Parts: sequence; C-alpha cells; structure tokens
Amino acid sequence: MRSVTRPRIVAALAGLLVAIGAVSLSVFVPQQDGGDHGSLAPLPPGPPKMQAVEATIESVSLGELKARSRVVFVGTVVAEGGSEGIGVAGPPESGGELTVHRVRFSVERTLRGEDVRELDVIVPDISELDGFEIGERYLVFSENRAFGDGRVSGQSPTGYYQGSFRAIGDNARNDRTAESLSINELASELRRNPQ
Amino acid sequence: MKQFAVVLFSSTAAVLAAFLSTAPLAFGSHGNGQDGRTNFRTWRMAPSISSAWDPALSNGATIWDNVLNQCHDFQQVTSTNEHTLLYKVDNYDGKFGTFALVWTNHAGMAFDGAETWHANVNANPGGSSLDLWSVAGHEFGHVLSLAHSGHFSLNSSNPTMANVYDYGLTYFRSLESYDRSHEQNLYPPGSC
Repeated sequence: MRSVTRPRIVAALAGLLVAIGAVSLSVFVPQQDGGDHGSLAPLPPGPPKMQAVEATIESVSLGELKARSRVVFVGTVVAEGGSEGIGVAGPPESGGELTVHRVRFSVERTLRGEDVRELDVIVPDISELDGFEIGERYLVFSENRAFGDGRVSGQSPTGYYQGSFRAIGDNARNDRTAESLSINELASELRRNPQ
Repeated sequence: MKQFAVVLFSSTAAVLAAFLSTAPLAFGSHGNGQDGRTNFRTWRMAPSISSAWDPALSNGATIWDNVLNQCHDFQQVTSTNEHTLLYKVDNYDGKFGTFALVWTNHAGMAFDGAETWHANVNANPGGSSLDLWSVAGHEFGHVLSLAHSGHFSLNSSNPTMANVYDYGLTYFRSLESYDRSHEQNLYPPGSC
C-alpha cells in the first residue's frame, strides 16, 4: 500500500510544480500577438542579474536628452529579461563576464522615432542604473548603443537613469535629477524641433 | 530540535551577511603602509593597463590618504595577493554612458576602453577626453565604501563622489568637505 501511494504523491507534486511553472511563465513572458508590427520575440530568460556595482556615468542634461535621443516614448514595463553576456571579461568576482539585461515596454505613445507597440531597452547590470519596475509607466529618452563586442545592441536609455522619468497622467518626473516634464508639452516641442 | 538549530543558524548567518554587505570596508592590519600607517588597502594594475596610467591612478588613490586623522592608506602592489585589481576593458558601452565601474566587494575597478582617457597629471584634458586622475579618485572613494553624494548636475564645487561627471573636467581631482566628512564618518579617528 505504502509503495503504491508514494509514487502517486510524487506524481501529484510534480504535476503541481509544472502547473506553477506554466503560470509563472505566462506571467513573465508577454503574449505575442501573431507577428503584428511591433511584436518582439520572448525575452531571454538568462541567469539572475549580476548586481553590486557602482559606476561613474556621463552627465546628460535635459537639453541634451532632447537633442540626442533618437527615440522618445511613453510606455509601461511588461517584462524584464535575464542577464546577457556582452563578450567582455569582468573582474575576478564579477561572475566572469560583464552583462546587461533587457526591459520590455508596451508602448502607449511615441514622441520621437518609429511607432511600435512594444520596445526593448537595454540596461547595464549596474545596481544604481536599474530603476525600472514591472507595471510602472515611464517616459523614456533612448539612443542606440552597442555593448562589448557588439553582441548586444539596441535602444538604451540616454544617460541611463537620467533618461527615464516616472509618468503619471501628463506629468513625468525623474526623482533622482529632480527634473519634471509635461508629456504633451514635450510632444509639441519635439514636433516643432524634429531631429 | 535539530530543525530549530538549523533555522537559528540560518537566521544568524543571514543577519551577519546583511550586516557585512552594508558595513564599510574593513582595512586589515597587514604591516606598515608606505607612510607608516598600520592599515592599508592594496591595489594593483592589470596588464591591460599601460604603465603610463600609473601616475594618474596613484594620484586618484592618494587624494584619500591626505584626509586629516585618517589611519588608513592605499598602497600599490605588484603581487597577486589581496588587492583591488584595476584594469581596462576593451569596450563596455561605447563612448559616453558609463566611464568606469567598481564592484562593491572592492575586488575590481574597470575603465571603459572605448573612452579617450587623459593620463597626463601635469596638464588638463581636452573637451573630448576623460581625466583619469579624476575618475580614479571617484572610484577609489567607492573602494572605501563611500556612496554617491546625490549631485546630478555638473558644478565645479561638486564633491568627488558626485553621481555624474563629464569630458574635460578635473574637479574630482580634489576632495570637498562632503567627501572628507563622509570618509571620517565611515572611518572615525581612533577607530583603527
């Protein structure tokens, strides 16, 4: 009796784990919409992000954000990928290779650049630069950037945290730089001064 | 009882790990430093760094040695024993963006090789190159466990630990009162 019951319990537990895994996957991987314009491939899962790094970064003023960013959009974070190696060796305790990760946005409004429904931005795995939260809405200034040997490239926030503003209604605020913007006024300004 | 002991041990270890991850860097007493101080942190240059960078990197470390009443010191070594390893990566994120990184466990300090670095300590950099002395000084501050100061716009009176910097600037070469006071808060006189 005992030898019959135990496999059933094990099988039931295994089934439960598979079910939990499927639910988790459906939460973290955005549903694709049949290849419509703007639909992206699933984000690479990757290992957990390497953190615990501090950096010196370039100062980028609001004027420079507007002048330099090829893409400006408002969107909500829907997913975050795992770490991707950029082909550059890290220091002894970095885990071997320097890494970045992708943050996927559902794009609600494009103020500059091609109109897309979804967009990935690339963020270095540096703890202080990682300011995006799933489910939150942002105004993002971004530019094209290639990391390491060019294995990972694409849109990346201009000046990293300096180019990402938390958006509530028409207001966008960067709590770190204390800059605030009206999204509608910015849209008008960028229309008047296209790149 | 055994389970209780395991839980107690795990909790203690977690609390200890959390404390250590936020505690300032502990300087070991490894003998006498170069200027007779008894506590020092060693660093060395990886082969990826040219010897021409040595003066600027040394100056970056030295600005922290001159703070009043401090009992620690940075010391450059060539051995592969305990040290913070300084090195240059070929290309981290291209020009602009990130200039240099430090791991908060202080094991590595990386300079982005995609930037044009100004290593001459006797002259100021041009507008498109980064002052190595300045950026190294900032990163050595991180090695001391100093965090960023919260200054997000450029100003010549900003502390060396300001969050952002730019090409052609040199004001990180010298400490401001913010840097000194935070270093002394972390390492008060008589604490080592």
